[in-house]
Amino acid sequence: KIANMRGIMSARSKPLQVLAPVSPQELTKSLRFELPPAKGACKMIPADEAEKLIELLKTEAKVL
Amino acid sequence: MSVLIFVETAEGKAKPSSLEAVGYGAKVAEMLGTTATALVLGDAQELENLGNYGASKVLHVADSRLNVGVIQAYANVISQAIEKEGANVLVLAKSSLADAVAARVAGKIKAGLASNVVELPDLSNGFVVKRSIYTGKAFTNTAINSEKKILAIKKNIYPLTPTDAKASVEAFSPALSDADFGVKITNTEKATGSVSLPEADLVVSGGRGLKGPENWGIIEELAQALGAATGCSKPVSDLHWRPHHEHVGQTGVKVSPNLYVAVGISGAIQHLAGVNSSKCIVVINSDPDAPFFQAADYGIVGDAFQVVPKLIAAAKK
Repeated sequence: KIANMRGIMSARSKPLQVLAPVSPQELTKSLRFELPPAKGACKMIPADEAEKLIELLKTEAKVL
Repeated sequence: MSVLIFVETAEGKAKPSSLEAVGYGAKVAEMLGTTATALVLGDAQELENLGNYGASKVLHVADSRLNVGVIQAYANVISQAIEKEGANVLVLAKSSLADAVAARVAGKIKAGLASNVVELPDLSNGFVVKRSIYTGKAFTNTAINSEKKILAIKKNIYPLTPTDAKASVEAFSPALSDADFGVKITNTEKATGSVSLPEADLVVSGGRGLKGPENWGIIEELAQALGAATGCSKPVSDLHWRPHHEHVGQTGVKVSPNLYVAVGISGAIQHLAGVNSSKCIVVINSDPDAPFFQAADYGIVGDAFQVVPKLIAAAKK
């Protein structure tokens, strides 16, 4: 909807109520920021020795 | 002044992420010199076993209307439990339900809320917790200044070290009205598959490199051999090759497994956002320049259709 000329002209004489900003109580505050630790190099495994990956995941990474 | 832990259940049993929350909450209680109470809503069994993870008491609200996650009702019950127990710390495991509930409880009881917490609090100067922000791209130390505090912890940041200790179970009947149940859940469609993706410790995920949905057999077989959940990248779920709930990424599931195996996924930054909480990342891709290798711990450059069957054979041994 587009405001009509009557509305635009009468708006100039309407009261403008200015409200003071209210700062809400701060319940949490961020103290500092940091980046995650740098990731180590990726260990590459040749495709024809793929089975070694399972071994490494069991013994080295210990996730299996 | 106790610590209250909201335990989320699935089919009457506590979810693994909630068990981690109990352990975390019990440790915080120990640090504060107080006790840890677990809160369980709806029908549930074996509640005394929550003592294995450090809860000394369990409050059970055995109202079957609470078997489904009605956020308004849950927030009301938790607020009343906090008052009953005189708790000033509430711990929850972060989940979509927990986020909505924690926010409402924080508003109701005027508590500071820290979400995505990754470490135990630092009590040396106030109450400060480290949080993961910007989907894992950074961390911030947040001080909670209010007397009551709410912590939503990330999955896989607190180890499960169960003991034989049992907790006492107490029935709790908070005042609930129909207004709390204004939202009615009429139908629930459960995702099939043995392991729930957000709770999974192992995930095998496939991307567009697999060329088509008919090739997903190797992903499912490898997942089954490892006892892992299956996931996929956003293009794959947009193309309807895989169900929507398997989508891992910025706008999908954020997984926190011990192991994430990515097959045929390039590793665009939006996918990494869902995956960077993984303890170990394995990438299998035919493209040696795939960006995922920068984020990986182990990588294999090769054809997935040759490599994955070898992994399946080795895993089955």
